[in-house]
Parts: sequence; structure tokens; C-alpha cells
Amino acid sequence: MKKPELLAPAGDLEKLKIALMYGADAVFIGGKAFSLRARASNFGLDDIKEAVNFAHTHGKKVYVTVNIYPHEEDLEGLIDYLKALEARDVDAIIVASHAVMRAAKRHTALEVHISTQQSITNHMAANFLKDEGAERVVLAREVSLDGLKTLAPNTSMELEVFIHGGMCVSYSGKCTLSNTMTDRDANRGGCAHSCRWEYDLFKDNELLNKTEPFSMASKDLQTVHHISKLIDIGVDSLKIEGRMKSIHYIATVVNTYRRLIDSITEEIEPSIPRYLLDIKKAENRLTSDGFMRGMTTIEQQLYNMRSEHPTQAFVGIVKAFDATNRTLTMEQRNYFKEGSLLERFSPNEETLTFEVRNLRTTEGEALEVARHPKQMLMMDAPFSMTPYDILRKVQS
Amino acid sequence: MKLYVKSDQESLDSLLDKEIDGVILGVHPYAQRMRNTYTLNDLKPLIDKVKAAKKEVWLTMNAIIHEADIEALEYIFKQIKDLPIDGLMFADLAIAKLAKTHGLLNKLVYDSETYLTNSEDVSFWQAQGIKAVVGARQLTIEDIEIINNKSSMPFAMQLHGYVNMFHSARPLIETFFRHTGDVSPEKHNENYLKLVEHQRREEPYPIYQDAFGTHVFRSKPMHAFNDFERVKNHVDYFIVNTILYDAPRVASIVDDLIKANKEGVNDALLKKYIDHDEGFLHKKTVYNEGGGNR
Repeated sequence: MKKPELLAPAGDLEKLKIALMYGADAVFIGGKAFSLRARASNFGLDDIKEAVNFAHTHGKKVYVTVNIYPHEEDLEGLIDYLKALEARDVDAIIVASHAVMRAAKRHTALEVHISTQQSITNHMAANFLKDEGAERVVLAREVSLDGLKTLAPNTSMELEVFIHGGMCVSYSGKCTLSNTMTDRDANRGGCAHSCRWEYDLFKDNELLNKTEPFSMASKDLQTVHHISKLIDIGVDSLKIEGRMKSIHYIATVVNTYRRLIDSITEEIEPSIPRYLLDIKKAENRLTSDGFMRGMTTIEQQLYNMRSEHPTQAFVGIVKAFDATNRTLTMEQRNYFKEGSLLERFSPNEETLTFEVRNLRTTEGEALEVARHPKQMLMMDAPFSMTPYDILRKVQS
Repeated sequence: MKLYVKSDQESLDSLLDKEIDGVILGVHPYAQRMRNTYTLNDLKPLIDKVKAAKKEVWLTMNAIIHEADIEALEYIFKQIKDLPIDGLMFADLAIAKLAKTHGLLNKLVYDSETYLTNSEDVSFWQAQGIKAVVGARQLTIEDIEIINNKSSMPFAMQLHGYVNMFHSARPLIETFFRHTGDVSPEKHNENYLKLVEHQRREEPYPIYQDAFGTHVFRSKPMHAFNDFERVKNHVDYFIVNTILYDAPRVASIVDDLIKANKEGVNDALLKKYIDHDEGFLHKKTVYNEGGGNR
């Protein structure tokens, strides 16, 4: 049984390290140029070098998105940028535009992955791009499991499939709602997510949506139930979306899929209910399985508009552990207090609970509550912890 | 500059009497956002009629092709290669792959709607050996001029008619009405409805659902009369999109375009199209943080 790569998003270096430590085999990041998700805190070339060094040291990979559809004025500097990425040893670039693919193949030896912005839905299109030198295609989210079963054996192209995160409602790359409504080019990093706004629907002058706004919005993707089938089909890479998500989200989602993939490929019966519970600990929107079972229905759509349920469970991240004094130092992220019941979530250790005791500042000042984000705090630790362990409140 | 009109049986006779250069007909079930589409058997007499009128004919197969469609697509493609057509418009790269196999690359016209945005994209397709490319709908007139100046390949633009701005595979209209408890949600599918965003009530967007999913168009159809001379200098194929127009309106528009081509554009003509806009010709869209009002 082939073990697929688990590919995670990383909006900055901290998220990249978290993603890799919590079980991703590879991460995808955006550079400061030529990348969508313009508001993500993208990587400069020095950051990319550091990211690649960190990943390669741990035997993992870094892919860089170069996935805008450039207009003529955007082409300036493209070749130099691609060469700079090559010089920094990135493992692949993710491109949408034929122009960018062509430039990469002509001027560098970079491995090229075709972005989902190309909306590739069949093996013939994949094979066309294979002929042009692309090594992998990130398939459209509209491809179902049945479609994949036929597609996969008919191409030698590596296949990457989204398994978790936000979804375009439109075919990706085909939408100019944002261009029209906000003057922001969705294919150059400016998507305003207009498909998630509230609308009315009229026939002539008759309002058809009488009880609630017309919504086109989609639930996020979540495919815990389908990972086994994706592995059986032989998909090469399973991708989590969300370069702008928090480190807690990335750690939780990545680690859940890591353990699920490992249990399937090691032929240990996976505990699906457990994984579903674990993944819900990430701050999250409502989820569905997208197009996995075929055409979408009510189940995949989002009709109670405000679906985000930001959890306050993530209270901090461990920065240091003093084994002699059994004390931990952590960076605060959400409110908690002396006596709160926390759990230590670690990439390679069992999740354990403990009660906050002797909460204090790093200067030793006793605290009743921790209410300042990013404040460095100390407390007693009943068991050993390691940097990047995540602390979260146990939900009653 | 050649004038091509997306056509159907209803409008064909009228169009063939006019000084247009060619028509575009949709191949069922692989053409979308057309007034009508036709099986190959139904297309053959239409193609013959166009050729008898000494006009050119392009077919369009601009659908996104899913794996389940591939076998039937190959069957149809084998028959298309024997038809006396002058061009075959496509969006999905599966068609390009098939055309390579069947020696039809020189008939292909790439029309992805949003992907072809620069002269290097044109060079990519020129190297493939296809006939022409259609520029992305969101190009400005300056973009068009720059691309054409840097390219030697025939360049087409859809420059009149409704502009599609959103295509979802999802049956969004039917699903919504199922959600609200409508007992027969499918009745809304084929009606041309209007989508209204709460902060843009003056801009109703045409929306409909069909076998390809849900399509949303810009509020107003576009025209290019203000830039007609610039367009003539930089566009080889001027395409008229006829969806959401009725046949008499199509005929009237085509008459106006022919007249503009011969005599130039006057104020009366511009006034006639006051209910249209200029698409993206003068609407440069870039990423601008805070630029949107959301």
C-alpha cells in the first residue's frame, strides 16, 4: 500500500515548523511575489531559504506557490524569481499559468506542480500537462472518488487531492465575481470571497428567497471518512488548505490526518469517531465531504451564514521545559486562569491533562488569570513537555 | 478584423444574410453558455448552410470535461475531425490532448475565459500549433494591445454581450430551494433569474442553472464601441456573445457592429448601447488591500 504525502499549508515560518513537527511530509508556502492569498504573511527569499533548510533537515519538502495568472506587467522579474527559488532548493513550485510553467521549464530545473486554479478534472488534461513537463497536478475539488478511480490509472502524472479546508464555490480560476464587484483580481491574489456574501434572488420583480438570504456559500471540506479510499486509489499527495489559518488549527488538523494515514497504511483499524472528535478541536467552520461522493446537495452548502466557531480552547504554546524544577514556559494565546484544566497536545506524545498550578510571569509575579496574548508565562508542569507542544483548555 | 457571432438555428438564417465572417455553433453536450447546442447530426446541415453562404464556421466545446464524459467525448471527437469546420473552440485541456492524437491541433481555438492573460500564454499555445487564442474576459484594452503587439498569433476577444463571471459545478439554485422547503425546486432552474447582492441592489446579475452547474453573469452586457478602432487594430476575431439576447436583438447588434466597422462609431450608436457597459476594457483589476468595500 502506497503511503501518500501529507501536505500542509504554512503562512509563516512558525506555522511551517508546526505543520512539519505535527506530521506533515511537505508544506506549501507563498512567496512575496506571484502568489495568491495576497493577505497571507508570505515568505521573502531569505525566509524561503530558512524554511527549506528546516524542512530538509527533517527529511521533508517545501513547495512554493507561483500561482497567479500574470498579466503582462506581472511577468517582469518572473524568470529571476524562479531562478532564485531554484537556488534556494525548493522542492517544487505550484503554478496555474501556462506562461509560468513554460518559463520554469525553459529557465530552471524546478519541479512543476499544476495548481488547482487550472481546474483539472480528467486524465487527458493531466496527460497534456505531463507532456509539457509538469510532474504533478492538484486536481479540481469537483473531482469525485468515482472520477478519481478512473482518472488515476489513466495517467502517470502525480495526483494531489484536497482533503481539508476551504473550498471555492466556483470552479477555481474561473471566477471574476471579485473582479466585478470589488475591482480585486481573484486570479492575482485579491479574491474578496464574494461567493460567500448574502444575496437575494428575483424572478422579474418577485423576490424568491422570502425567508432568508440566498446563499451560494460552501461548507469547508473534511474527508476523514474517505482517506482510506483515497489511499486505495493511489493518490500521491493529500492536501490541507489554509495558509491563513492559526498554528492551533494547523497542528490539530495535520496531526489528526497524520495519525489516520499512518493507521490505515500500517493496517491498524482507524478509530474514525476519535479522529472526527480530534479534528473538531481546531477552530473551524462547518464541514462536509464536498464532491467526494459526487454532486453536492444541501448537505455541502452553508445556509446559516455565520458558520465559524472560533474556539477559545487554544491557550498557548510551550516554549521551554525545565526538567529540574518541573516548570514550563509558554506563550499565551487565549484566556485561562489558575486552576484551569488544560491538555498538552504534542505531535509524538499521548495527549495528557493537568491543572494550572502556580501561574506566574517570567519575572515570578503570581497571576490569577492569563489574559494577554503573546505574554510569556510560567507554571508548574506535572510531566515533561517539549517546545511547540500546544496547550488547550479541556472543554466541559 | 473578422466578425464572429455565437449562433443557433433560430438566428442563423438572418446572420448568414449579413456581412459577418463566421458563426460559432455549440456541440451538445460539450458546449455551455450558448443560446442552443446541437448534436452532430443536427449540426451537419447547419454547417452545410454556413458553408453554402461562404462563411466560416467554428464549433465550440467549451465545457469542463469530467472523467465520466471522456469516453463519449472521444467518440464525438472522431466524428468532428471529418466535418468541414474552420475552428474548434475549447477550454478543457482534454480537447487539446485529443486534437494532438487526431491531427486537429491546427483547428483549435483556446478559450478558457479567464486563463489567457499575457503574451507568454499566447506563445505557449502558438508553440502547440493551434489556430488562435481568445483573451481572458478580464483583460483591459491596454492589455489587449500589449499582448497583440508582442504576439504573432491570431488573437480573438469576446467583446460584445453578456460576460460570465462565475461558474459553479454545484446546482446552487435547486439546492437553495430544496433547503427552504420548496416542493418543486427544479422549476426555478431554467428561468433566467436575477441575483442581487445586498449592497449592490442596482446591479442585478443574471443567474441560471443547467446541466453544467450554476452560471452568473455581469449585470450589464458589454460593448466595445468606444474602443472600436483600437480593437480593430489589435484583435483578429471579434466575437459576439449572444446568450441572454433574443434573436431580433442579436440581428440588431450585428447590424450595428457591421456599420461601425464600415463607417465608424457615432453618438447615436453609443446612445443606443447606454444600457451596456464596457466589461473590463477600462476596469483594471488588481489586488489592492482594502480596495474592496468588504
